[in-house]
Amino acid sequence: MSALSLLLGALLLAQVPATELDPRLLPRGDGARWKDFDPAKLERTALPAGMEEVQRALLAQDYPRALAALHAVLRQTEDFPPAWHQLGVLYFRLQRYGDAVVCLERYLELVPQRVGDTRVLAHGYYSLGEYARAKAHYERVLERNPKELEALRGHALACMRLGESERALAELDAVLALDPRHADAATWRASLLYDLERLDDALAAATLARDLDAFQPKPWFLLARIQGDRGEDKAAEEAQRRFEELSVISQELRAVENRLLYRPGDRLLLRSACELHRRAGNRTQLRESLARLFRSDPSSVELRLYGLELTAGLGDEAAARLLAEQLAQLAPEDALVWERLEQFYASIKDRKLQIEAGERRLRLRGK
Amino acid sequence: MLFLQTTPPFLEIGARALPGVVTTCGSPAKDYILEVNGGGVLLADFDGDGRLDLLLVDGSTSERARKQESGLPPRLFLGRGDGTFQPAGAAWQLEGGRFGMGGAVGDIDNDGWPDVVITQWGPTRVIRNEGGKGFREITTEAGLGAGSWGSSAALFDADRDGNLDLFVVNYLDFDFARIGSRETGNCRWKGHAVMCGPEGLTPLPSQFFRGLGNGRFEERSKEAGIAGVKPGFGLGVMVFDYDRDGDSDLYVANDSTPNHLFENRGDGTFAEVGFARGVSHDANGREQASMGIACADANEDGRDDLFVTNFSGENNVLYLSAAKGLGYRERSGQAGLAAPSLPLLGWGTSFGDYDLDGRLDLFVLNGHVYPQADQPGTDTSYAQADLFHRGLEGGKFGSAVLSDSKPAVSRASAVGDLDNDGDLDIVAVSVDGPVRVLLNQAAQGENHRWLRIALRQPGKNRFALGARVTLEWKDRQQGAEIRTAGGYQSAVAPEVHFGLGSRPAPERIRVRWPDGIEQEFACAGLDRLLLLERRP
Repeated sequence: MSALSLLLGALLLAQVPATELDPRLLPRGDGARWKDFDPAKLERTALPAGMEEVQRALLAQDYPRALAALHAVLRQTEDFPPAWHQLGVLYFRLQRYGDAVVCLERYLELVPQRVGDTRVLAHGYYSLGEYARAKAHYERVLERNPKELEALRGHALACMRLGESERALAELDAVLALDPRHADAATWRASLLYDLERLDDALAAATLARDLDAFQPKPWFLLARIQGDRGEDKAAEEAQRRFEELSVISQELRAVENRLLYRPGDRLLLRSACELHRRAGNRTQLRESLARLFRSDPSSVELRLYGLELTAGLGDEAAARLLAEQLAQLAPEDALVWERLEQFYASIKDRKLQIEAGERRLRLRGK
Repeated sequence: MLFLQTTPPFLEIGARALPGVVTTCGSPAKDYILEVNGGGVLLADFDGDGRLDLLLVDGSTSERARKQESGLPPRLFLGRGDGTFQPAGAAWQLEGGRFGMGGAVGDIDNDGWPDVVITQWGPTRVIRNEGGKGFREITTEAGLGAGSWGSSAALFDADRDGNLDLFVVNYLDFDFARIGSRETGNCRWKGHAVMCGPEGLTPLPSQFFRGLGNGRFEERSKEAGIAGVKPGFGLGVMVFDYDRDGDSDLYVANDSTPNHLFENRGDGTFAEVGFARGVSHDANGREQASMGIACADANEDGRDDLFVTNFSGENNVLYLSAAKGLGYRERSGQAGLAAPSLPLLGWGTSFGDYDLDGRLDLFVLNGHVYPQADQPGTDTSYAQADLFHRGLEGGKFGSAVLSDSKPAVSRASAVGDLDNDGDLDIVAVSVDGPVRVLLNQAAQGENHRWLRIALRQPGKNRFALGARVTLEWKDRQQGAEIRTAGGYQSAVAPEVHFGLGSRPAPERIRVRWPDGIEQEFACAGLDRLLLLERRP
């Protein structure tokens, strides 16, 4: 390919929104060049130039930019396996399952020895409703990596969809044996047991799932259904109430997260996500969402004041203290910040820091 | 997707049946949610000639809708009895409403003729059938005229006083001025700019109107316990006696919000029990897009089951009645109905024994809401194949393409024996496209027996909406309810259809009339329409 055609290709590409790029149209060679490819032996300096931009975009969670960069890499360095793999994973994250399958199947054509890397290909088949293909591919992945948790879990779900309930249960048990805190596996296990009308086992499993992740609506849904079927009406009503609260929040969150996939750094959306986690009372997720929000403007005092308000409101003293410290460093001369810090330390009854913040505020206001 | 390799069971005769008849639903680009749900189809024998007629509810153009000018009028086509239709004469012509959606059919004035309710973006309309000679709009006299966006409706006798009552399912509060266009780019699906909604918009509550039996209605949403229920984005409605207590209950399919099951307390007041009965969400506790509803006793336990069509990426859902209690369990995957529906967006659907082999089958009309579904990476398409799910042994279904039609952007459907050959045919509405008549190609004869049964009773509710007809053999029963609700923006004739396969005639036919009185009838033979009249 000549330099001119590369340039023209890049110019044309730049005019197409990343979401409209089709991986089926990417150039493909005979693949022989990559047959002995081993990522462990890949020198950083040997990476195609565009891969750094891919990494930067992924770190920034700017997926449209990452898409465009990966397409550019694959146009410049035909069939570069890590780019096909990354593109497949990215398409899966963007819920473009057919595209994910195209990319990961190409990756596997090029480097069949790397089948252990391709559980996401099986996830793709599963998401398209191709459960038998998903199951078969999970089995190929598990042959290489028998303890690959997400492949085991996926295999269990594929078995479940294909009506192999007992096998699915056994595999979910295996996931939980490897990772006793795997909330999703615990939830699916409860769901399966309920489906099999094993109400006592289902109740125990749903209780465990709820204890592992009390902010997911599905365990509460299952608890409400199971307890309702057992005639435990009061408990069922309470579980239903919590399910309904979390379900509404979860639906709104899905909408926000789906929009964020294509509008990275949209501060309004990032704040919405924080607000929704606060509504759910989920400290862990609130912290993560705040961290993402702060990445959109690392030096923003306003965003950290917002974070302080949310974490303190939720009683997450540790996170709030951390934010208070950051604010003190970011805005040492801002009287309004110190006023807010004074209020915060008062609210958690840290008299020493409250007094210090108050004195600082007064000094800055010249009193 | 694996489909059965068979000849499509239905043959499209649209060009012959309804030449040049299309519906309009806003702009082709679908910039607003108002423009995506399509029109409606109401089947009934309006002129009393024994053949099914078709009332097509049409929408409007965006320009007219924006200016609040009248939309396209509903059009009646009279059936010739061979699956084809002809435009009805001037006496049947109706004015354009605002932006038509669907409607309901029933005898609201107890004169023995099927009348019509039309839902639309705009006030719900009431049309009186003038003794089989023509239509007359009586919206104002009927006491209606309010309403902002009705999608589906049902006429049924909620309080068992013999007068048909009206339930209107409302969608959402829509206003061109307040809701952003697709062109703003604010609303995205898989990265593509699409029309906005329903998420983020305001759902409207359903409404209940008590029928006075003379064509007039009084709104009783609050008294009936409907108004107090948290509203959903209502699209479909089904009338059925889910708990077999002799009164009519309602199931409402809500888009992106939990579905409702309104349990009739026996007096025309309702309790919403969707969650308690397991039909509000899918098995994962997710609210789904819920458009069309099919209803029949699929597991033959005497209680009707439900099937709900959903968005692409969600599976269609089969709720089977549980062995114990009054609840339901989602069994979509086990029945083989989940995976084939994943890439498709389903609308009109109906159970029926279409191949007359004695087992219930199911069809689903499909078509996306977003024209942008044809862009890269969506895993679906705007025009889609309609699916036929053939009933197999063990409660499973096998999937095949429904007809020889090209993929279309399908919406509402209505089922009936349009050519009087004993099997069930389908009318399929598509968005901004032709109205298709799909004639059933089922084999007839020894192993494909059938019965159609209609009921008549004197006085009120002459078509006996709410009655249950059960065929009884020594070792088996098959039952179905008389209703006109078609599930999604549609209505069907007040009769039941049974495919019997190679079964002999039932030993008896048991009818539970709407007032609870039961009577038995002898079966006069197979492969015919039986009109059973209530004995004094």
